[in-house]
Amino acid sequence: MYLSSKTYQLPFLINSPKIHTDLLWDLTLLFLVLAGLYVFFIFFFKNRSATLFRKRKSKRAELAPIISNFLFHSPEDPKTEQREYVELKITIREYLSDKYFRKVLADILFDLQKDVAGATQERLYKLYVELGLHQDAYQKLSNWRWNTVSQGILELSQMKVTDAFHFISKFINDKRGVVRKQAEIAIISLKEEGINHLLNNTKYAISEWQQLRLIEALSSLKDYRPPKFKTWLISHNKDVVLFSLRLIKHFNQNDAAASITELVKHKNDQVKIAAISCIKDFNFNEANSVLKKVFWNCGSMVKVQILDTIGAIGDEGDLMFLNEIGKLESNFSVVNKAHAAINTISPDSILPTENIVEDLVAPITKSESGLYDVEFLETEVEYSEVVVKPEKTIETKEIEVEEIEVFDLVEKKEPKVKEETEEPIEAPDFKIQEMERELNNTLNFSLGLIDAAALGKDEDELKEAQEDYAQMSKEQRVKFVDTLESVGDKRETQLLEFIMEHEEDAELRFRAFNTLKSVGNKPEQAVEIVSETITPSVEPTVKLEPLKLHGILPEESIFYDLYAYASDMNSKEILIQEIMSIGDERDIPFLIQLQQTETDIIKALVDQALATITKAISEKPVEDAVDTSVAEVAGNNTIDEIDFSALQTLVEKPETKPNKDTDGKGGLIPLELCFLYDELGILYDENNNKEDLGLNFELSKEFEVMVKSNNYNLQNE
Amino acid sequence: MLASLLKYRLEKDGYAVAIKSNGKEVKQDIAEHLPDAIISDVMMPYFSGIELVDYLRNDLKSDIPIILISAASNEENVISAFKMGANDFIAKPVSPSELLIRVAREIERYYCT
Repeated sequence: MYLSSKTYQLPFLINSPKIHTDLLWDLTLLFLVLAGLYVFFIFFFKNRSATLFRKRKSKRAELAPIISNFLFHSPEDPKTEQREYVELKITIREYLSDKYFRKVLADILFDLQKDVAGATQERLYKLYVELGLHQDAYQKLSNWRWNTVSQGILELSQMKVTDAFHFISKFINDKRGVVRKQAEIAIISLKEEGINHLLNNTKYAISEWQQLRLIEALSSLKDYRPPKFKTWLISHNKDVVLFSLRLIKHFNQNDAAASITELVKHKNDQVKIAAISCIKDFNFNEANSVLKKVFWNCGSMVKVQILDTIGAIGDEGDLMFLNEIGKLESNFSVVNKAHAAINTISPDSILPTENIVEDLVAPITKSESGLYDVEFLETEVEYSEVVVKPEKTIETKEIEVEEIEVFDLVEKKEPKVKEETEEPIEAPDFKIQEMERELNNTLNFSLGLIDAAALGKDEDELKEAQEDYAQMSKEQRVKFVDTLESVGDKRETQLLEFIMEHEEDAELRFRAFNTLKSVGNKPEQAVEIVSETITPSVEPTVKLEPLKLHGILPEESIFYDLYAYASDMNSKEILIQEIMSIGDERDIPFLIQLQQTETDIIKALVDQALATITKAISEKPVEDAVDTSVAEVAGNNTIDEIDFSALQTLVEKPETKPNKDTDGKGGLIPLELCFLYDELGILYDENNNKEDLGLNFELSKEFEVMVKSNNYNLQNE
Repeated sequence: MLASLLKYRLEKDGYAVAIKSNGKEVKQDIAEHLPDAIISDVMMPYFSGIELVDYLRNDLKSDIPIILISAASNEENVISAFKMGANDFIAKPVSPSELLIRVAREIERYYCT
């Protein structure tokens, strides 16, 4: 009973204290007053700030056109605007004495400079200084509040007041972090040399975020030419070194290999890592040895960086070092990085080994041939190191799956020695086609293997050909003569003579005659024929184009095309004078043509040219025989009176009788033929070949020397 | 402040300019009376510049020239502005001389062709 009554008694401490009722009222009143004051102050300050805001807003609205006027004013504006500008200037000077007004004005300009660009922005900066608002910013720098100082620095740097550089630069070692950081950015954005000043003088740390902001400020400078940041790699300030390394990377200054390599030995891991990163980025291969040297004394983070760099810039010579790390290093991440580096340098050198099931047993199936499918076994071979026992093969069918041993099979393929008796090569029975035979004969004839005279003795063939020709239609005969013209040689002489005698068509007869002449079996006869055939007694139509018919055309003159393009008389005269000075036989037909077609003035010049060329030709000893005829040609003024037989002789001379060593190059033969002779060991007859082929061209110096030496050797033999 | 500056510059060049301080006012104003051209910031209270273009092109079916100005000149903003039918886009900071040329060009293109 006693216990139960005690249980229900309240403890003393939780009894409510006996407080006087008046005190409660006093406290209530106190809290009410405090609440009232709180509400009052809230309303007071809110209203005050709202009033200030409204006041400032109205002030801004009032000042906006004034500022706009100042910004967009130009001396070319009309007089009314000029007057307005002057009045505004006077008014604003009065207002500038008001501190509040200046503050509002500075705020407006500060806000506006963010939104405008170009010339307007430049005018705005100028206006800021002209109104003397920068003086207020200077005053802020000497304020004891850090936020005011920082605001002053910001204002001066944003409004590009470059004169403030020295005032602001004092703050780069300020103990207040915010001011210091603001000053660092300000001096960089105000002047290009700000970064030099900062790196030279700063004593405090530069955080990574600050470094990024500084780089951003540098990047915003126009036409910025960064200094050589390697200069500051020797700084005592670790952060300056780090920042310099970052700047070197940012501006790709790869001329600091030695300094950066040396920094790998720095006691600070951050500097080491930054330097290693630079080495990797700039691919400084020469730093490889230093990296290996410092590797064992570094922490795991630096080791990982070093291995990453070696993987990027290393070569196969570094594999031993990396393998060594794989064996000796205990840190998991370092070993992994070493293996990754090995695989980077030499791909697939290290394959996965963790959690790889090696004892895979694949179902061995029988193939259709009855043998076991060894496809899987071949895969196993790659991992086996057992030496091969060649006696054991897996060909037997009795092999059990459980007993299969996999060996490193090395199959040595011995060359199969097959005794093969050489079978005599049977000469294929080629049937030479007609065209091939022709070609073969032509080649043999060129090489002097076939007697040209003997060729013509095949009377049966000749008769057959003549009969065939007689039976041909006119079109076929024309084609035949075309063919002879293009590919005919001495063997066709008799056939051509036959055509000349029996052909009804005069044109074909004439073409046959030309072909006969060109194959040149009997040049003397050809000239005689020409002389007999073309006489002054021939009809005038034939007379008009004798030169064209006999080899040289007026178009062959080098002056022909030039003359055709000569637009005026003066050019034509100049060209004829040129012909006069450098012309030769080939220009005579062209000149004769001009005599027929041109005006009297040109004709007179042409006559002179003809006379000059004729005179020049007549002085050549080889052509003595034709002097008279050429002189006659030159003397005639009309084409009808020209002795074409003489002219023909003159023109045909070089073709029918090539110069015989007059210039020392008469013994030239085709280059290919020369080589062919050399290969076959045939002594060729120069004269014979010359006459047969009528080929005469100049070789280049080197081939000329070769041919001459070849000739010399052949003669010695 | 930029608006008043641009207004002054445009008026100096002979344009009649009206400034509206937010998107809601612009919407009400253009519903009653369409101007010849609109220069608008993308970020406006109540009604963004992009929404204004959308409203003008799709609701009012008007194709008057609209030039948008924005400090956020990221690719997404620019593309969405042009997709909605804006005629031009100028990134801040704005050169008033450049803006004048663009306005003149757009007005000439719209009214003279």
